[in-house]
Amino acid sequence: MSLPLRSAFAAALVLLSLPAAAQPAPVAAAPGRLFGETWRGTLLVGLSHLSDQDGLAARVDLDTDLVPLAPRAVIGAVLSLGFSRWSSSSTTILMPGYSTELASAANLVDLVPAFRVTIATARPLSFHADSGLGLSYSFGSATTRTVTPTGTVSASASASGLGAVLRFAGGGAYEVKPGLKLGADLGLDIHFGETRGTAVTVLATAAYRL
Amino acid sequence: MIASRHHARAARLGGAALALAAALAASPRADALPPAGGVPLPPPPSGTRRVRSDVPLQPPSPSASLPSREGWLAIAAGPYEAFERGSSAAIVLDYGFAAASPRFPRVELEWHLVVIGTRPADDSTINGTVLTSPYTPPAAAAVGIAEERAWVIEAVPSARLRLPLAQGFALFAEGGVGLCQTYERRVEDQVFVGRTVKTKHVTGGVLRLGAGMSYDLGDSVRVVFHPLALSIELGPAWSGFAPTLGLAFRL
Repeated sequence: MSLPLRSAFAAALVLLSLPAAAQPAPVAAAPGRLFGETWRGTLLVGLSHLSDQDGLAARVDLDTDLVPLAPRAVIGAVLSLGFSRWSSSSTTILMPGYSTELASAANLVDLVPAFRVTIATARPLSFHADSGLGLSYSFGSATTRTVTPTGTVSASASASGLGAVLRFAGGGAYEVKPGLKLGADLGLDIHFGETRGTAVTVLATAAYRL
Repeated sequence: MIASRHHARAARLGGAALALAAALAASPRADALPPAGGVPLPPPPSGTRRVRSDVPLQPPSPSASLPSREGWLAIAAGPYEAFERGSSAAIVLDYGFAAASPRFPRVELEWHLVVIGTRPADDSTINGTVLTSPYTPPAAAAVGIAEERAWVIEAVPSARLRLPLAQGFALFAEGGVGLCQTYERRVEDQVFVGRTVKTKHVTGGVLRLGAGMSYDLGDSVRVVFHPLALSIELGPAWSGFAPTLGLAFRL
């Protein structure tokens, strides 16, 4: 590269860097930043694995930004309302004419406020990590039905309980168009109290800017 | 030669002293000085200009020179999971105040007194060996149930290091050593034995370790989230994990 070309290149670099050095870019206008959006609603649907059982899980998140942590990181708050359901049924044939059917279902509703750190690596791609503590309410029932040649005997029981849930989760989202993000969320829900157990959730997410 | 040089220097010093004495005598007395507002200020340095400020100067407060010991009182709640011994809800009261930490300017040191109250409960099955028949060997079987209830109270002075990451948001880690008192009651109901009730009170030490984050909702209210909190009891056997979420109020 000749000297005049190098000088012109250096001058162009300096000119390009001058506006950024002179005054910081506004928070909402920085590329890849999420700060500035008021509220987002996210619908999450997927699987939940608890005590060797797989169930369906659905969740609605409402989140907002609190404070910028770094040029591409934001601390926010999220309120999650989730519902999970595990059900199973089995039939055991003891001998011809004799069988036992067992059906059980467990449902879990949880409400978890959490802190969320969102990092935007590039404009369409962002990652988040959640940590929160909330309440959970579980209710379920189990039914057994024994069939014999002389008749059928059924029994059922139900239970419910209140507990707490500690959530650690993380995931990513891709902005397919302004105001809509699609992504995935992997979470660890540690339940205490009546709903004791640790659930692993894998959820697909769709977030809308409200 | 040297003597004449000393005489000349002495004469010069004497003349300077006389001139200074004359200047001091001619200067006005201190109580005769004009008011401060009347003294013209020196010109500002080159490249700067003088700006008039409408904000009146505030006199320094008497406490400005003293280290401020503003306290925070927090109340938090969460589950208490005693390891292998049941769980319960826990209430935490936490009084803390800031301390000076000149060594690490980015980190704030706080002293806290944390009081935790919880009542873990655990129900278990008592297993025993049962002889069902003289012709078969003894077999293990459930022979009763046991219900354990305990009040656990911990008082732990602790040190907390806060790392402010953003405006109003901070991470913290804490550790402390304190005292623990338990009131335990165990009821056993067994076949061939009947119902027995055992109570005991245990006093011991407790090591508390934790980490979390806080966010200021305003000048006097702060959300404190403690996802990692461990109470390791030395003496009582109700060590547990107690994540909490609460509010702290500036006193």
